[in-house]
Amino acid sequence: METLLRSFSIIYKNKTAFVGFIILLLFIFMATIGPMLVPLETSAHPEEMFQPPSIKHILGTDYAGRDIFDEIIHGSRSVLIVGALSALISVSISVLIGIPSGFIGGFTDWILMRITDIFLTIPSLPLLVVLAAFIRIGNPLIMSLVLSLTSWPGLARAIRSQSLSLRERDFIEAARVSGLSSMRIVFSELLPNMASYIAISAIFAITQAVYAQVGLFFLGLAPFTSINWGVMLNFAVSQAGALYSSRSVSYLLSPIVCISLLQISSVLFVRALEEIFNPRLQR
Amino acid sequence: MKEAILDIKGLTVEYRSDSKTIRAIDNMNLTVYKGEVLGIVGESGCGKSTLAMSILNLISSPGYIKDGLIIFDKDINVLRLNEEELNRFRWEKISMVFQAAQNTLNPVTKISEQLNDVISSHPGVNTDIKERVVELCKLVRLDPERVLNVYPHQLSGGMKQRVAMVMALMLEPPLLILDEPTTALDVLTQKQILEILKELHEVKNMAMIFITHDLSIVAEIAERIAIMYAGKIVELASIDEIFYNPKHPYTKGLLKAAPSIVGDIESLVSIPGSPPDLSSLSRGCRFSNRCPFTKDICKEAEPLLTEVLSDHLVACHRWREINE
Amino acid sequence: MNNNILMKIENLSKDFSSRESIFGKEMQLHAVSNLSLDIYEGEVLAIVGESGCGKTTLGKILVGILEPTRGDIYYRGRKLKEVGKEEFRTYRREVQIIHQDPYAALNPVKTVYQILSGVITANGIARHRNEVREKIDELLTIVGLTPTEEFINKHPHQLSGGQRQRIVIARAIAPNPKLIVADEAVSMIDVSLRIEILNLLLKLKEELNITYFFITHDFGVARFFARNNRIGVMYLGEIVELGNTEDIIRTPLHPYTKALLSAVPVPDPNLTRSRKLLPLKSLDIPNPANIPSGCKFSDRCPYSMDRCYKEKPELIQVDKSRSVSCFLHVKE
Repeated sequence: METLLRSFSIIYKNKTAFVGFIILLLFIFMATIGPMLVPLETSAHPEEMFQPPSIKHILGTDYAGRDIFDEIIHGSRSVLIVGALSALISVSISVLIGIPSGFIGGFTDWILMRITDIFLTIPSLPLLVVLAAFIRIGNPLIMSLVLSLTSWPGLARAIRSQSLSLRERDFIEAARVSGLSSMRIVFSELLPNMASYIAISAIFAITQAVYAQVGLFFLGLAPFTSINWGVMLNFAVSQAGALYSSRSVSYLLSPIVCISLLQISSVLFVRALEEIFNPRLQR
Repeated sequence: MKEAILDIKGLTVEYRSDSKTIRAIDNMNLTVYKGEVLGIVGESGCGKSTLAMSILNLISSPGYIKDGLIIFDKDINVLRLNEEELNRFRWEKISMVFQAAQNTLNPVTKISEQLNDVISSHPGVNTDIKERVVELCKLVRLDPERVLNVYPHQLSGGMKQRVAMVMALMLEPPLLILDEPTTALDVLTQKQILEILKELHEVKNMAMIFITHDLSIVAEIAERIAIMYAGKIVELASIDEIFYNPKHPYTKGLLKAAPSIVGDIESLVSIPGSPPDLSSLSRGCRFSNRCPFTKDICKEAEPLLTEVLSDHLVACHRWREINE
Repeated sequence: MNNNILMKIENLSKDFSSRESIFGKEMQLHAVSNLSLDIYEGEVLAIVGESGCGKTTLGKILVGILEPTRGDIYYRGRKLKEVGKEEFRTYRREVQIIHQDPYAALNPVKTVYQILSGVITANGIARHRNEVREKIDELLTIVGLTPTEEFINKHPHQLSGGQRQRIVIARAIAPNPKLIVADEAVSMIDVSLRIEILNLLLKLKEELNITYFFITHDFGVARFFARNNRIGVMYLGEIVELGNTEDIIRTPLHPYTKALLSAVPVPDPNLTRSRKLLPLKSLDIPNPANIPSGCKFSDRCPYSMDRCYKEKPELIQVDKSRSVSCFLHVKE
């Protein structure tokens, strides 16, 4: 499609965004195809433990002699999938609540915002801790639901205020006078103007979810069903004494660097997103 | 004998945006005399606001002054002043009232504090400033008691504009620039402000540059008028000459295109077309694509602003034939 | 202009409540006060007033975006509060608006095609792609944006101010309206282009039989656009003078109209030198909390008499085609 091609050219023209885009693509590749290309060792090789990075083991080995690079690749899958899923759920709920709230106003707004306020005031980490005790968060779907439970209210508020301010604009008023139905106005006039905001929020929601997950695993609040970045961090500290010795530096840093890279590349990439969605910025 | 307070020579200002360079002002020469009221009239995009900002060296990225000399009072080279000198120069020698000056007032501090801020950034100014402020307030018909101790939002738009005028005149600059000072105001307030400006001018005898897009407004106050189009001055003459004896087709077009409550409305007609793209100018006169009198020469060579009658300058190749 | 009344406004009021601060009193702002007016089919009625006089609020009520607090509106003889859904929808389709800022009135992420096709399909004027395209070509041609291919896929920011306003006009005429409310339609257009746009609107009036409710603060523009038609002057939510355009400008009766006309700048230095602003007792609009009882203009009027402070004047017909609301002109 012509818009896709135009989007690619925008991304390409903006060098920093392009870098971010490539890194994000790499992560996606890592999460989807990566595990199929790289076998995961489950057996322990204690004799190879904590080997520094070398040609055989690009990032070195962990406390059980397993290759860290392989673990990073396999570990990306569940983290990113849960991240993406959680972002999808969060953003969907926020849009479904934020837009009617801001656009329709009145009692609808009041009741939706009171519900949002209730969720907003619940502190996320304690809630997650409590939920972790009662629910099997091992299942990625459940984990995504739990994470989105705490992240949607903030986003809903933001979307509501965007809708509120757009509602007052002349072109929305003109659309109403022209005879467009409210539904049509929301989908055809309002949403396209919020598209960039929603898309950017979605990207950041993914990184937020990744942080939250890693946090949960690190704190040992989520069951370790398979290797992932959070689990690696947890092991790095608990099993490998990473905080006390320098031999497991690679084990500790690898997931941290990955998470940071994810965040940085998101930040770089969203610049292009703004331009893609806003024709005014394009030339 | 007229003495110059401001001499602009060869001023060229450009804006760079991505791949395009827009020449907002092109090789402009202009002299402002002491104590005169000079009106600068032009439509959106003609460069008049850029001119105002250039005089105070306020142009910032992506704009830049490419070339030119701005000499104040024969002696100060404005574009060469360093930061400290500029800070003193502004407001003491030249000050400005911006468009919608009500928005240039700080909403969270009282008026008196804002006036004090101006004073404190100009050390060495006389301490009878308090009396001067009171006198100025009276001249602009503001009650100093009422106005000094309040916040901007407690004043009406017209009052805020008058406060901005007091602030601009506090240090008694010999030159005041006003950029569309009445555009955001109601008709009654506008007339009042214009009358106040006239009185101020009589009492203080400072020079004024009054920038506007509305020829009718400038008819109230200007002594000389410069008509700007696409970054250049196309006509410069006394107010009577501009209104009753215009030579440039654009000036004539403007006069015939402005609906007003006097004059014949049946003969009103717009100027067809639209202003040129300042990033890709062709040679020749910039007005030629809209001019009803355009001939080949107009497309070939740019006309220079020349004195064709006593104190009446026009930038048009065919001014003589057109005005037969 | 014929004698059919297209829209009848009867005792219309619109109040807004506002609070100055959390602890302040709740204040009622009477944007429109007990206003009655007839709009005749085929006429151009210009409403002139300064900001805050209620003209924009009145315009929005006519178009249906705002609900009046009190009063009735009759469209084609039928009281809008009582008509059924279908008739109401017809009224909404037949009364359209042109906003002041063409940039703000167009959705920045849409193309001209998308903007116009939206209106066309929403009103059932055409359904299939080629019909819609045909209608769009027709509209663009009527408003003078040809060749149409050049404009169809442009976004608003790629057009000039005048071109944008033409798109706004094209959108307004797409549903075949009977009445267009133009709210400061040329205030943000360059002076040299205003006449062109106004002439376009007048041409559309002739060709498509459109009635105009033209809101402006500029008497000069009103004089041009509403020539041989009517002007109404509004002050603080009320119509203070109403009548034939040239008559009002030549011989204004209401002191406020006189003040306005004395303040309008003219492109004639000799004339300007001899004109003086009508001396008003106060140059600022009264605070909403301090609106005088009696005639609303009494605190500023240089001619106010005792009666003006105590009683409210009505808009009374004093002449074949002139109505004023002022005790100076009431024969008693």
